[in-house]
Amino acid sequence: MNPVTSDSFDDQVRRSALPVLVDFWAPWCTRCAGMEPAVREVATTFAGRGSVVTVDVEAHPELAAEHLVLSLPAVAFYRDGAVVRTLAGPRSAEELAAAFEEVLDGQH
Amino acid sequence: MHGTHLTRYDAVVVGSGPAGYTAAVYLGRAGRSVVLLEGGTAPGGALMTTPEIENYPGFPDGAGGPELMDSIRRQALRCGATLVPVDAASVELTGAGHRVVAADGTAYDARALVLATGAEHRRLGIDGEDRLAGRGVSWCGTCDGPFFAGRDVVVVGGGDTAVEEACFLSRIAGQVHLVHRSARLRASRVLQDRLATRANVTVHLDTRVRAIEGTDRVTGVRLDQRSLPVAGVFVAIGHDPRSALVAGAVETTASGHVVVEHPSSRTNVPGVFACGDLVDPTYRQAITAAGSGCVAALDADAYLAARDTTRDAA
Ligand SMILES: Cc1cc2nc3c(=O)[nH]c(=O)nc-3n(C[C@H](O)[C@H](O)[C@H](O)COP(=O)(O)OP(=O)(O)OC[C@H]3O[C@@H](n4cnc5c(N)ncnc54)[C@H](O)[C@@H]3O)c2cc1C
Repeated sequence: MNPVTSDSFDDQVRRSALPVLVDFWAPWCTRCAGMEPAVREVATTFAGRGSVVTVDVEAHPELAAEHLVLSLPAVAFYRDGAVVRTLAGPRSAEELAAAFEEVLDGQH
Repeated sequence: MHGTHLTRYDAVVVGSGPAGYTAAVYLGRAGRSVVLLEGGTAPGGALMTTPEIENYPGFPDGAGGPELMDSIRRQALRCGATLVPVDAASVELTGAGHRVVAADGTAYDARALVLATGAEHRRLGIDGEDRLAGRGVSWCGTCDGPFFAGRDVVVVGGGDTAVEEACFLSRIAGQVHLVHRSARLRASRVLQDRLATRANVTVHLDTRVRAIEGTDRVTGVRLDQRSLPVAGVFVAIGHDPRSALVAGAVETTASGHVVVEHPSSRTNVPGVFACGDLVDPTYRQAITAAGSGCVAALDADAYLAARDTTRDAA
């Protein structure tokens, strides 16, 4: 799990060779803390096939605005430089993994 | 990933709010082997998004919701409970014992089952709500309020939660519209007095939200007579018991609450006990949920003890 900033977002996400799960969180968001173990688990499971990055929206509100994040936790999946799927609200490791699997398969 | 856990226990507890953790504390202290499935998405239950709890006894200066839940959780661990952060996906209730299958496929077998899955926020069921969820429609002011700094928002509802949300949001948002369908608010006096001190809150009584408008994000709401341009809609119209897991397997009321033989926590299925907001349409407090979790654990322990004796005698 790799924290990204506005400066590193293009390199780490838009130009990533692998599909990317972007996890948006904020320090005030207890549900984000509750979902962190699930995100961590997915990062391990998908190592080598997809990457997982985190965005602190308090530190980088411009990334939240750009992705229309108005609710936390929120997840965006990137493939080939573009958002192919988003999820709003808390998700389990199983739900995140299933969505990531579909993104990898090109179903989204 | 949880394959290392023993999958046979005296008791399985499903749900990680005050009710579930308290049941695990009591079962652990009674010397029972107990596993608690905490849920894969929101462990800690409803209080995890409540910054300040002023009415839980023992905390004269108030307690933070997440801190309180973490304390009860650690107490359950210390009493010997095994905690697993996974959803219970299905249950098989048989005379011989009960099986709970988790979302990761692990099966947990136990003679006693304690249901403590709580309640979830009710939806308005109007146009735009699902489509714009996470795009300006929210069920949690403390989680999502900061995205609406200086913007106008609507809070829907008239109970304690709605009025608390309106007060909280009034410190962040521009104008806050509290829209309630009946002629008076249900919220407690204290909260209504607090609300009255907020200059930027307008209360709309006898008014319904008919639709939520916007294409890729909320731009307004349509009320009975007029529309309001707002960036956010916070829905706080109550909660429904989370009984889908056991629907058809244990008896529930028309409102979906699990039926228990009051004042006990016994359901209509032997060895299955239920507690907290899952069974309670009336009181719905952290302390009553914790209290009923205790009752469920004592009932489950007595049930196990009766069967231990029968088996010893046989
Ligand atoms: C905004 C808000 C403010 C509140 N403020 C107060 C207050 O100030 N004081 C007070 O006393 N009460 C307050 N309450 C009420 C209080 O939070 C509830 O009464 C109490 O949390 C109910 O506890 P519970 O254990 O029954 O269920 P919950 O707290 O709802 O917890 C149940 C949890 O079980 C887990 N779960 C659900 N399904 C499954 C499954 N299939 N598998 C595994 N796990 C599952 C989930 O994590 C769920 O969150 C408030 C409630 C809300 C919503």
